Amino acid sequence: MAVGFYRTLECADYDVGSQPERPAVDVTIFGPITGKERSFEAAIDTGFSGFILVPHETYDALSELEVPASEFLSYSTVTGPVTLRRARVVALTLGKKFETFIECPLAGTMKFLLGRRILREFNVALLGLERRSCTLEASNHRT
Amino acid sequence: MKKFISSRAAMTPRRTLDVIIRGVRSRLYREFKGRAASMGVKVGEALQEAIARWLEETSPLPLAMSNQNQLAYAKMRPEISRKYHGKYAAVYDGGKLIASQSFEDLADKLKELEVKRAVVCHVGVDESGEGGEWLWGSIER
Repeated sequence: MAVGFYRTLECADYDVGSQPERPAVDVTIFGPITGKERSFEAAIDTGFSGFILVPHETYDALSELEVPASEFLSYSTVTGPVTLRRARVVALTLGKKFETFIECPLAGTMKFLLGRRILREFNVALLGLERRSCTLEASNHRT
Repeated sequence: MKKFISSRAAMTPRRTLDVIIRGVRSRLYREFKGRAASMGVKVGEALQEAIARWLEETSPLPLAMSNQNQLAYAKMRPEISRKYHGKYAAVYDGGKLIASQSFEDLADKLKELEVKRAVVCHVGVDESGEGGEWLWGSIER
């Protein structure tokens, strides 16, 4: 069996305010026109296939460049499809700065979530016993 | 800057599929086909435009569509699709249009114009794929 080695780049403590504790990372979002920024802690959510889900107040503040309504994405949920508004932003998280999208439903109180369309771009390890998540870099060594 | 906005099919033209629709009223279809031909538009293109307009008119997103830039974009979309394929286009101030080759350049131009809000599209490019699922990860006790 091949064994891969990974180097830990950056770690973040779990959100211990939730029970049981949940993996979370620090995220900063920048408005693409004004450069206005907001920082928050987002839960790592492998059950959400989207980008970065944010509450209304944050969406209203940073949705300087919204995509056309015809390009809003719909997600299947246990209560039926939900369509999310979507806006182009610049994000900084897990040591990388990149162009991406924030999303927000039309109604309801939302939290900050980091979805799989972001997570797929990183190697993230969930160290449950240590209550922290770490980004990893693949080492060249393999045995 | 790196983009984390896309599926593996990123930056490719929109995916298409072939559809067979049965039971279309013949007179309705003939009129539709004739109108498309008189306008120099292929039947498939006209049908796609009709579908897109219907989706907008019956949109479950009244709040989003009450936005003046969203409404203006919906009206201007056929023109934007024709003229700015592959570019980033922004609609602002309820109907003004600007386009650019890159997102960064577009954002700079909008900043120069002191625009605070706009609707932006990467014309003809599927950057995000289709939706997916949301298993209510944000719901907890």
